[in-house]
Amino acid sequence: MTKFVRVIDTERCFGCRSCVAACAVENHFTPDAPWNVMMEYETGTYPNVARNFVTMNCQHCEEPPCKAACDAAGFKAISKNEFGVVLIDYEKCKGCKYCVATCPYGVPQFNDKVAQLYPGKEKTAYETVEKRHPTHAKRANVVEKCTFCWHKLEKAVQSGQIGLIGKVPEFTPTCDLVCPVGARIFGDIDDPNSTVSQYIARKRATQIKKEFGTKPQVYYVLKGGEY
Amino acid sequence: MKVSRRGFMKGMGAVASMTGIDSMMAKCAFAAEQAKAAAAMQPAGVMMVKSTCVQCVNFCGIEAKLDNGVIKAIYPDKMRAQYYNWGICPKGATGLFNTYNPYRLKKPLKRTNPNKGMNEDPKWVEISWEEAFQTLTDKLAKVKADNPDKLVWHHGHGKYLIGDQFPKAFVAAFGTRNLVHRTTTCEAARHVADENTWGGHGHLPDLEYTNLYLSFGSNPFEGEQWSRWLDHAIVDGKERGMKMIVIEPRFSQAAAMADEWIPMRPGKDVVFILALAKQLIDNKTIDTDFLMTYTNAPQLVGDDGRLLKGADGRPLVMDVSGATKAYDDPAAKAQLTGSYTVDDKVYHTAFQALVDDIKDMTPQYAEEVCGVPAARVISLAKEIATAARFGSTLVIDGQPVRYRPVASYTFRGLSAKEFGVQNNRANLILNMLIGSMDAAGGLLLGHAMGHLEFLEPSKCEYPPKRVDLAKSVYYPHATHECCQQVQYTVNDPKVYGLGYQPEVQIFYATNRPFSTSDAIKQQDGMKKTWNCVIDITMTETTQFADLVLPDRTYLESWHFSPTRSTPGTKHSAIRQPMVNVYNIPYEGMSILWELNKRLGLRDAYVDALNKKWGLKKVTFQKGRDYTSKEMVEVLWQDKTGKPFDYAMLNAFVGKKINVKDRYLHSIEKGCKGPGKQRIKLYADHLVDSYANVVETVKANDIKNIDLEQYRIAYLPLPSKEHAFPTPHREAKDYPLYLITHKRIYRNQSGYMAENAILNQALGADVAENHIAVNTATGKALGLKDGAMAVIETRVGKAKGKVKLTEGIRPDTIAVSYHYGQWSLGMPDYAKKGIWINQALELHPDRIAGMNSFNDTKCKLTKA
Amino acid sequence: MRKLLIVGISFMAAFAISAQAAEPKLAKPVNLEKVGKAIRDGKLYVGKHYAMPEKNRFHNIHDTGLGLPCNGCHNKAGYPDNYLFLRKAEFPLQVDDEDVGAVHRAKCLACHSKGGAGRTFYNITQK
Repeated sequence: MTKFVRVIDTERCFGCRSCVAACAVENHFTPDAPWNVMMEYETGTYPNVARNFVTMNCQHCEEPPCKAACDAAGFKAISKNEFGVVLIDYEKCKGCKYCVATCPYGVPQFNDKVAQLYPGKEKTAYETVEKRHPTHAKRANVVEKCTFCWHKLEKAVQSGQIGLIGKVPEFTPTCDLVCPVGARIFGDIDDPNSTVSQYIARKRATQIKKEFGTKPQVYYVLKGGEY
Repeated sequence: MKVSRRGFMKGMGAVASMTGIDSMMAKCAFAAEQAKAAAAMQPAGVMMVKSTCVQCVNFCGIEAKLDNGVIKAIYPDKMRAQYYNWGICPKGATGLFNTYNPYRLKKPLKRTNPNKGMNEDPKWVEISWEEAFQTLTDKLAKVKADNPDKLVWHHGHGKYLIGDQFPKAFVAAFGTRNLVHRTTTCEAARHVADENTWGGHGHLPDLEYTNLYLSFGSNPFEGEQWSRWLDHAIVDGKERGMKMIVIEPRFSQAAAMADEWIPMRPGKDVVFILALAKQLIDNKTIDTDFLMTYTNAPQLVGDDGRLLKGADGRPLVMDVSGATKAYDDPAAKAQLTGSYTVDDKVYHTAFQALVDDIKDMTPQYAEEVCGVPAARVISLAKEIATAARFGSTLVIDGQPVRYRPVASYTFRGLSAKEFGVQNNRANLILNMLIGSMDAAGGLLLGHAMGHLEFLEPSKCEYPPKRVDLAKSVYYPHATHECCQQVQYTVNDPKVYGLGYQPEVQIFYATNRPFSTSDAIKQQDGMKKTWNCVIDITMTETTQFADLVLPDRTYLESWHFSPTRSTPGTKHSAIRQPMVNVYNIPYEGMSILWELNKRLGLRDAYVDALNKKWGLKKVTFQKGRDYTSKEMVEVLWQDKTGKPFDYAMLNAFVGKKINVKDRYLHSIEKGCKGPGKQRIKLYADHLVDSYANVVETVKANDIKNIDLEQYRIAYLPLPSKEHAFPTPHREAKDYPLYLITHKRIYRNQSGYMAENAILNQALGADVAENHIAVNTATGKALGLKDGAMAVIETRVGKAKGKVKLTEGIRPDTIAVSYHYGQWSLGMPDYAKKGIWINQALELHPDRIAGMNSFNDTKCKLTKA
Repeated sequence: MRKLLIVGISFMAAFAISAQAAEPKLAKPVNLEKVGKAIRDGKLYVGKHYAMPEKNRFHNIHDTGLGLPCNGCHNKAGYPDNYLFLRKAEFPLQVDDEDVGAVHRAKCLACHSKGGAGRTFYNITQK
């Protein structure tokens, strides 16, 4: 069995937003629909102050309510593959936003328009590349979200190198790759010897919003409460 | 107490770390094995190219992914992780938009509107490169024939794009002294403090072993030069059990990562540090061995402030026998404290001078001045003393090393000040008192006593020869140029005694309006000269340019890159081009080559290049042209001895620093034993520098030097006066302190202002900057969160949105750099936010010529 | 189908009217399970269009059909600073020039978990 999870260690995170920036670049960010978001907040009263940095992208739940809602609505645009990656098929999505309504984490982003990065100027070569992975073929009136960089993981699967997922840059989700302090790791939780398995145990990582029973595949080492 | 490294690690309860150096090395080794296989799986058209990022001065290793010749992503080069950066920052990750930017300069431009100003449209006309070069060459040839010093070459970021060796060689060949870098924007005062204390500059905390890390005005999580090493070293250190205390007025991201935040009143750190020093001394918890062995603490000082020297010129100490002896006499048992009569004159030890100097630095006084509870001064001094483990040794790789795992580290927060040098000297003295210099876990210094001339009095040159007045009577120890001074001198050279009127200024990749204080005044000088700007985007400096030449970006050009070493590693690297998005035919290096050629200076340039680069085995040859790639090849081969193919494949070569080079190369070699200059706890030569200032002022009837201020600035020991910069003393009607700071999302010069991802994808809260105001203060001033407010200082105003926070002192407000661009060539979205530079008072450090940024006082009112 | 919806509304309106005329009577609570089942069985018409704006299925079901008041879901106070919700910076949303407050998904749990009145989206049983 292989179940890919991400661990985000908010004790190590210092809020640089490199993962947010890198995700945007990797995944053809369209304005107002970020796939990875930083929530930075303060607690306490001067001079006893603290600040937390928590990023969130899709939790890739084992029981995704977004998929349940989409299936119930009859569009069946959301799927969960054998590696646990939850994906949206932009062709099937009708932009009803039921997934937006049901997700406890606020993950799915509705794209009301696909805007170019420099409005009023010529499109950059980065934007005019024709052959895009289906998850990067953005369109208006459709919902999009983090894909665990499936376009990268898929290559590992296709080339029979599943064992390298999370271990080499080519097969690691980009947000997990760029962290300057190693606050994010990605790997197989079904392997008890994997870095993620050991990290979750050693640093008492947990999932957030467990009360929804969605069984997210993203674990957090948390500082402070109210998730 | 001796501890072995193995015992140390066990004792710290270290668990096999999931992150940390050991696992990072394992990760790298694994990645190297797999890299070839993975690379072979890249689909057709996809190429990975390694290089070095130059969007700030960390010089991170990067690996870019190109798809059919278009950069699609930039990743950290994981092979560089064990030598420097584990990841990259958001600037690095989005660096392709520094390059794929439709607002970039693409063709040479000529001004047709003769009026220059912030709001004046230059009415640019595109010209050919030939016309551009001809125009520039004609201007330069005229200046050279008249007086080459009338050319001023500026760079800032440009130093990191092509190295300052190329411009230095150019100005050497051309004959002008006026090359000006922007170190006085950054941390020049800290370098000058180092130089005037231990004859070299640069230091880093030995975080692999540090147990108590004091961070004064240093923020590697938002700015800082070594931040992509400091960040993971700190985070790993914390997991190991290191305690970090951040001392600064604002609850920065560094404070958020620390175990404790001590909210320091701006500019008062020197009193706090001296109060800690007094506690350590009074409690007799100092490393007396260190002071006696490595510093001039026992040397005798007279009432005139000068050292007592023997006939042979060597400083004297008071032996326990009652006789004076040479400081390095192996038979001497010197007194550390006390006053003594020698030949009917009273002398005290330098250490005694310190004790007397700080006798008023009680915890209560520190509380009054710094706004930090007296009890914390007392308890922190005890904490430092306990953590310092006086007398301990750590055995590392079989080599015993002094073990003092407390590092007190400063950066720009203490440097960008009117008394930046003295602030930093205070911290160096604190480190001396606990013996942490060059100790395991302490503060590791650069090459001590590599430049003994730094410890000599300044000649206080007058009339000044340089337009930035460096090393003149105005800034006698300014060894790092004074970028903010240039425009003042250009505007009125006679006022400073400069014997010529500069006529041409070239600005290579630097945006002075965004890297100086009192920034509007910088414009007067720029209006007086004919200016050429070489850059990638229409910065504010171009508003004053007559000619603009487009440069290629760091992803489009070659360089033998600067790199950052860490306590345990060093590496050499290149930068290589991957694209040329707008088909720009020239870049910094080739522009300089072309200019030299047209001016008939090519061979002189080559000679100067070989000297400036210190080339030994492989040198530049005269009588031929070089492409930029060929030049980088020469540099790489001389410096590394490796084939250039290796450079293009790997972008760098690194090595580990052995324990002897890490701990025993600097003060151990340079400051200990017979004949060696001791570290100057007491900077006696500053007394002579001041005497030279007085003499020069009198001899030349100089009107614009306030001798009393120089006397205070040049005290041989940091003192309480250094906590009171001019605005604190004079701006009585301005109740709040105004400080500035960096953010990790952008750099200071404005190269990220147009970046689409940094502007749109990181979150609305960082798409512009705000005035950080303490919640209670905001309430008292009737300011709501998000309301517009006006900051008014004695030199200007700035308007912006309030952000209420508990994370700042109630008597202080803070505004970051990086926003509020006003160049007419930038889009509106780049102009969001506040340009704070216009409101900052400028009072340069009189020793270093450092631009002060954080001494201002202000009023804050609803807009 | 439309007839059924109108009947349903008229039924509730009749209650309201009769309640006003005589002594105030406690309104009969809407039986969420029954209404939910009726919607799923197609017996209660809530519109064809799957979309979020009012007058489409989502609001027809929750607002009109189940009678849930706006502020039962929408929270004008927004999300607390330390609440982790990816899109929280979007709130308050501007919909037709009006501020629409945040919705804490915990409010959805009661009906949409296993055994709840609504369709199961959250595969957990509420105690």
